Amino acid sequence: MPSSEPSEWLEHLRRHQNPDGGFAYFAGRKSSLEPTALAALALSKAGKPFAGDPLRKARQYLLGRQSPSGHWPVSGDDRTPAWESSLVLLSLVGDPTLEAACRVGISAFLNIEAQAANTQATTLNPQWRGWNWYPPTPGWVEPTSLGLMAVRRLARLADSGRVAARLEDGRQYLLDRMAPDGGWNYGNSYVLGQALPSFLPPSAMALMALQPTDGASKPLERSLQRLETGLQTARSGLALSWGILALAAYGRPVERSNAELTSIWQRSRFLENSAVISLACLAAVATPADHPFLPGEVETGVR
Amino acid sequence: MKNRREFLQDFALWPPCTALALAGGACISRPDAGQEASHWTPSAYRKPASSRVAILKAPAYAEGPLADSIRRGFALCGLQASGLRILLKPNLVEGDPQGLINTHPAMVSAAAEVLRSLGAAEVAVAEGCGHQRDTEYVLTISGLLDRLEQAKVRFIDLNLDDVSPVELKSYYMGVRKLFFPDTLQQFDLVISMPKMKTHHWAGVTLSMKNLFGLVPGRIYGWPKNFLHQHDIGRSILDINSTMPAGFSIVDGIVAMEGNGPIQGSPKGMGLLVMGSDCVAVDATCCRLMGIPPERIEYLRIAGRFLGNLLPQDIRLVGEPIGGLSSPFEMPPGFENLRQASPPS
Repeated sequence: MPSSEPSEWLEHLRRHQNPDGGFAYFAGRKSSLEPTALAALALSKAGKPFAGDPLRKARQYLLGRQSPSGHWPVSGDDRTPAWESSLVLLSLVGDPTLEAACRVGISAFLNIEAQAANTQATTLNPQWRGWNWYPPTPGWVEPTSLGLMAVRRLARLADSGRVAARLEDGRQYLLDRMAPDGGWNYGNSYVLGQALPSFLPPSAMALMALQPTDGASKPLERSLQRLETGLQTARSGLALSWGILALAAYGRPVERSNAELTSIWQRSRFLENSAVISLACLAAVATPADHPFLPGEVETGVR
Repeated sequence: MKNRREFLQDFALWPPCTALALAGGACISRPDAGQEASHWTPSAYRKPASSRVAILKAPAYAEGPLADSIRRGFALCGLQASGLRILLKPNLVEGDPQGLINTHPAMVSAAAEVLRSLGAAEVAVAEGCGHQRDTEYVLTISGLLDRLEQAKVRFIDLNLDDVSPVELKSYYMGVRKLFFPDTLQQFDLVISMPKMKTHHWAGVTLSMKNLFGLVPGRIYGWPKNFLHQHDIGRSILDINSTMPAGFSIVDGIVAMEGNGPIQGSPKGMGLLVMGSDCVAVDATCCRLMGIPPERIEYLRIAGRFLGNLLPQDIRLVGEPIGGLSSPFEMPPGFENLRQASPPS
């Protein structure tokens, strides 16, 4: 764990919780789903309680944003299911008092399906849909990875047939979208005949979503190596945090990346983005056995 | 899989293509040409009787001379900055240490310095990167973060700003509202600061296309595929009718030709193009790039209600355009844009 920064990051979060219990991306702004879900995850993994119970308040904010149908809409004006629904579910799971909300939430989430990919300019297999950012659009790597991780963690709360179908769809989607270098671009590997490069955050998310849980499947070694190489020159809190979380999921060394994360914090304070600060908190404590985005022992029964 | 040329040839044969969905976020700009009046509200109409556009020589990104050129451009175009809160909107696409893809950081800091010297009440820089979600990475690698810190100019991430739904003033996309960042309401003037580039889906990316960065990724994602699904050209029209920039400064010092907006080649033009009518500025840039602007469909339609497209309605000031035009290599499939006259 890198020096004293995780405590400083958690303290930053605690100080910037809004009165409604939610978190904003930046101090003084309105609460929203992504920073609140990530802050709730970070607080839940902090290993200690905080005065005023900020975790309970954050979760209450998220529950207050859930619609009766189980979705988390974009806003009061736009009832479209938000892409952050997967993150919200990940931040609520594990608390027995929230199981009903999780149950209706995951059932609704399983029914969100992206449009089929266009194959005129790409090599994509349109059979695999994944999840999108905002309809009506095809699937993209980041929302699909987050969706897959949420479904894996909440699988026991939903219809097993539907869960199996979406897990298979999500896995195949990600494998189909892998870039030629072994990582992931945002949604395509080739466009109009040109190979696309991979980027760190979507690559890290995809690797976590594809992490084998059956103890038998082989990890994606080439993709892991590509991620490790990329992290050596990463220069942002977002890329390093997601990268460390992915390496931790596979039990790979993270000390060097953690040191760089600390260094970047001291230089930029991650531009004061609370969502990135929460991710850094999670990166600092994640292990293969206790990981915020992966199924635990109870959820897989195989670890 | 088809290459770009085959794809575009196919596209030309398809029946009225309005919203071609590509998984990679790509649609070709083909807004309907007819029934224009029903496509915008009266409040969207802001075409002036004539527009002034300044062309200025700027051979390099040296901040002192650059500031002098920008100052001259403001004077030639009659921009009054005193007392205004001004938002500079550069085009930030990727971690780009050479300043070939993004608006060069020296352009941004020089513009901020000049506007402050002209008495602006506040100058801030804002962008919602359309490609990279990792804003810290883009700002750091591009060198813009250091420049902004030195100049004590704040940066606002429009992708993550508080947002509100806004009624559109035109209806080319087929939607009534889009979310926009609340920050935009807090400034008196938005200055679009694009890089002069070719674009492999839209033909060119200039002042108007640059405003895609006003649309928040936190709602529509990275990339902003929702806009592509509704057609890039149509989206450009609706965004510019509803949240227009009041002034443009185009970075044409080192432009990009070929497979823009990311993988193209640098093209030294040594020019700035400035003005308060974004349509007229973009049309002038097109002429400098060797492209008849009426061949860019969204520009042709914008010329009916958002600004001036025709040479007789644009008063050029600064450097005479003759001799400055240098044909750009176009992305494969877009070569016909450079032909001398439009097709019948």
